[in-house]
Amino acid sequence: MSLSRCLPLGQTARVVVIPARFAHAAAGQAVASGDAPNFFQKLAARFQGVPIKGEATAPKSMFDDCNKEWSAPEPLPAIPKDFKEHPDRDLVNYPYPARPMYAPKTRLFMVPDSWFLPFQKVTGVSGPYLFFGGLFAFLVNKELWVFEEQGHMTVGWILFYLLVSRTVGYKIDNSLYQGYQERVNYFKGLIQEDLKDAVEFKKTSAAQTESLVAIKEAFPTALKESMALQLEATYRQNVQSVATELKKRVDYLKETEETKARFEKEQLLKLINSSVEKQLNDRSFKDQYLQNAIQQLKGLNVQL
Amino acid sequence: MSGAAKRVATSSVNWSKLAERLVPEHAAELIRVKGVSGTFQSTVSQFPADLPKIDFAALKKALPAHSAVLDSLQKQYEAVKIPYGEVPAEYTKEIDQWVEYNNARIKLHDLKVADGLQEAKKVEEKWSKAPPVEHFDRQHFVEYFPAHFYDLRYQNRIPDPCNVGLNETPEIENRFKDYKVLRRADKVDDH
Repeated sequence: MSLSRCLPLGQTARVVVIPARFAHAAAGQAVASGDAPNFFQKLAARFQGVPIKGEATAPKSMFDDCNKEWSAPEPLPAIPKDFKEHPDRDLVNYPYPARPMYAPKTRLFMVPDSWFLPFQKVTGVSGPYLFFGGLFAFLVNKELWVFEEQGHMTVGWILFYLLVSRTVGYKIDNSLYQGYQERVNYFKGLIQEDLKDAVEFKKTSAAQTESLVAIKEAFPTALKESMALQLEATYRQNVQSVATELKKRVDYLKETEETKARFEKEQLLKLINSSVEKQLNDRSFKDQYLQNAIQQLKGLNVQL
Repeated sequence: MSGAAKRVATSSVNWSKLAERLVPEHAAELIRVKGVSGTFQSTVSQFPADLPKIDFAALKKALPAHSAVLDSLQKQYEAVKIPYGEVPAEYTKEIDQWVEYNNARIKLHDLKVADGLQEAKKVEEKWSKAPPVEHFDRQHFVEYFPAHFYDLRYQNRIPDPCNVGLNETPEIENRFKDYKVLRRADKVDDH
């Protein structure tokens, strides 16, 4: 399939092919100009780990963890200095085998560092390399170390190890550490569960003791005062009844006095009313009243 | 007017503070005592503490016709003596008995606490003596988590790494106790 089928171009169109090795330079220029990034610019931004225009953060890449050295976020807890499983344990000659956080140091991927150090003191830094190299050359020369016919495969294995450890080594270490942490936390949870009862017992028993002390302090007084209050309440009820009775008597006296006054008043009014009415009904009084009225009318000087 | 006994108008107990100090198991006792006290407290606050003073002179002036009656009333009123009463001795004795009961209860509680604290101390000591879990040895797992690990060097059990439950019933152990016992009893091993 030819390119012309994928990219149908007219005669006037100009094709500029940017080789991949220049893509990042081209992208930098275009992004700086502020236009929408094209395919190559996006590609370059991805390789650089820079967010594309419109993205808050660059997406996590599968290559982010490549060639990264893993280290534990926190070291393992130290063993208490005087820790002994049994009082008879000799801590000087047989110290407790504490678990190391990392594997011991090696040189050339696999040779323990501890083999080099004693030589180094005497022969300098290159001494152990010369010694082990010489020893290896001697063994090979004298055919004491015979290479097997598939021995060259070791080189491939070493390359394979390098490839894997540099690419996904960080992720493997990380996930293994997480698994280890989960397991440790599970056991720590078991311990906490065992201790929880003890702690809870301490807490509840302290609260109960405090409660019983409070009861001991307050209740006898409360009970005694309750009875005293009962006496006081009865006494006050009696006081109230005496006061009420006296008030009733005084009120009765007041009421009789008032009734007497009211009755007298009524009687007096009745007397006045009846005498007035009696006078009104008298004939001579009426005639006299009319005469007086006529006299007054006559006396009026009415001018028309 | 008032008797020999000391008059109490309000309870000196701070109920809310006391309620805070009590655990829920003892709250019922408090409610009972507080309820009784509260009933009498409300009666006490409802009525006057002493007989009210009445101005008989003014009354006599207002009601001159009844001055003789008022005189007699005044005499009676001033002569009246309301008995205050006393708490019967047997009731006070009951309180003492209750105090004794409470002391016995506290003593029992203290015994229980001392016992429980000892047990708690044992558990705490066990874990304080243990190394950090990160540095546990294989033997430590068996020692500290016997429900999760086993040591076949001294425990008589069948290896069960997948936790199938082989050790829960004695059948398998009985079956393989003697390797000479065959699966079928009628089969004779004569060659």
